Amino acid sequence: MLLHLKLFLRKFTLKRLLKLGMFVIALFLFILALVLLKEGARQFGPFVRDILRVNNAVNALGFGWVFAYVVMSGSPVAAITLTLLDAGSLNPLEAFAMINGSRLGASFIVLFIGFVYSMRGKGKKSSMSTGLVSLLVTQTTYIPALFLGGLLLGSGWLNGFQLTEVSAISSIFDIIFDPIATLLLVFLPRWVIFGLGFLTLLGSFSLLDRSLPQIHLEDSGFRGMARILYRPIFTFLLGAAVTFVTMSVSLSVSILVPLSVRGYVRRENIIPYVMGANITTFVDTLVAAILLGNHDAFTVVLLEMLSVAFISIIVIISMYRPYERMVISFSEGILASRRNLSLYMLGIVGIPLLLMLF
Amino acid sequence: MRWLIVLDGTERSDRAAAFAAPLIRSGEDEVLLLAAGENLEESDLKAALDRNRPLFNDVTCHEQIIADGIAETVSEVAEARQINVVVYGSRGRRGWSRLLLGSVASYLERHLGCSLLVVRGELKPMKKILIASSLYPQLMQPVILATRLAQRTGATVTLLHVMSQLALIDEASVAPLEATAEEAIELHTREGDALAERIAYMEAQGVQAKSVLRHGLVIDELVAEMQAGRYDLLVIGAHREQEDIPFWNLLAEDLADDILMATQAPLLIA
Repeated sequence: MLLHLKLFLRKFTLKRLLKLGMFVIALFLFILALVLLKEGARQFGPFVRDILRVNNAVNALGFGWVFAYVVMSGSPVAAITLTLLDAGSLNPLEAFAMINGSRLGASFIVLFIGFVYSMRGKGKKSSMSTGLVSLLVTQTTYIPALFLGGLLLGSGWLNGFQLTEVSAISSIFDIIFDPIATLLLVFLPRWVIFGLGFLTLLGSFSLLDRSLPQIHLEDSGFRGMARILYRPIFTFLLGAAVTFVTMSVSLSVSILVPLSVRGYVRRENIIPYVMGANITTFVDTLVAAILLGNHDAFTVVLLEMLSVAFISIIVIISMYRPYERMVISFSEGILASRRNLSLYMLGIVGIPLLLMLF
Repeated sequence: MRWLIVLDGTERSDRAAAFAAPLIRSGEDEVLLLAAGENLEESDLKAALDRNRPLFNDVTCHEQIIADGIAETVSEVAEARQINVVVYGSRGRRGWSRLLLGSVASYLERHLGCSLLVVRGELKPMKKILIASSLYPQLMQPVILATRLAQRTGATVTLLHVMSQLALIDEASVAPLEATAEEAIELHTREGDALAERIAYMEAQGVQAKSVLRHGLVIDELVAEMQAGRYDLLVIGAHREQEDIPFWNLLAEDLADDILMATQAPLLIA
């Protein structure tokens, strides 16, 4: 037994142990952040509805979208949305729309950096292609999924799904984390606790990114890998599986780099890969919903995943090649001139701002 | 080379034999005329042999009649006789009929251990050959076979490679993604070097050859080049099953089958 333990420990390098430690700390911070946000959000009902004017699904969509631009990521916005839902500041449909918006705004930063370079005439347009294709795939699947999910949410289709086991898990965490929140509530006002929770959440995601395992797809002599990646349904599943581990679409896409040592990815491969990644990127949000122990939050996230998966699978099965052509030619059209690129950027910044005014 | 010409009593198989005849050289090649097909009378199969035999008077020619399904029969005979190229006149099924009834050409493309010449569409004397192939060092077979056919027919050869890649990271050098074939060769990019190597091989064999780099989706660019260049034969690499990998057929996209569907000209899968 002792020998086995020694062999096991030998296998773990210091680096791996460090990553494991970082992962545990990140998880601790993630749960703590959720508890702080949950407590802080109780005071935010009037602020969200009256000051930020998030009081219907349309402006919730716009708010989630813009918020993701500001924090340069979708996951923190989705987690905060769940705490607002839990506190009663948002209803399930508004939360669903806000989470959808958070994904629409998530990959904007990649494009924005490329856009700035391009405006400076540094010839970075070609390197923007992948980010743009990724964004177009997200936009063309999440927007139909928004309507589908909205309809399903209204129909109460998932209401029968109960969260008994999930509630038990959240109760265990309550025992550990509630005393911390209670202690902080004695000394700090709720809005400070909310801010503290937000910063803790950003920190936990940053730590989580660094602690997750690095997956490598080899640019090996296995020529078959390239052929396997040509099968859209396989690439779709691969994107979903990789993102299930990395939880970040951009991180998953970067995992494709070793397939071409020169940092290229085939147009044919990136689209279904991003489609798959766009579904399992909600894993952290689903975990957040479970930790909150809120039935509606869990339903909203599950529905988000199911509706995006449904739209993506329909596209892959029934219209994949025309869809692929449409996305590629649209992205080439946008990158064809600075004017087109500027118009597109104006659109994706202006539309969510307009939605916020509804 | 050993050729197997499939005769199923139809006009299209006669056309396939006529298309293949000028490609076969006496003294160097052998031909097996295989008359096969389900639900056919032996007399029909014999008649098919009689009609096509005169095309191959100058070469060593064997004959065989098997009244059974073409797909399996051809695969078995090709393996047993160590055939190099199977010639098949395709019906060109598409859409629902292809889905319901299957395609012999598609079956042969996946199962044959040798090259397959699928004869269909408008048949013209072979003056222009297009090779569309990935540039892996081990994939030289399409170039070698196309060179031999070009030597025999005097056809010119165009070597096409489609760059469908996008830059994934900022550090990626984007020049090869936008380069023409000439620029890629001059810049010594990976594709440029591979193209230059293949062109040099063909020219050393006395074949007039040039290269083209296109940028976009692989199948779309291939179809566009076929239409723009009005080629008489398209040569691609085979995408055979890999028996050592479980569920290969399920996992791997069959680009050769997609190309079979997307193009109409005679197609050599080498």
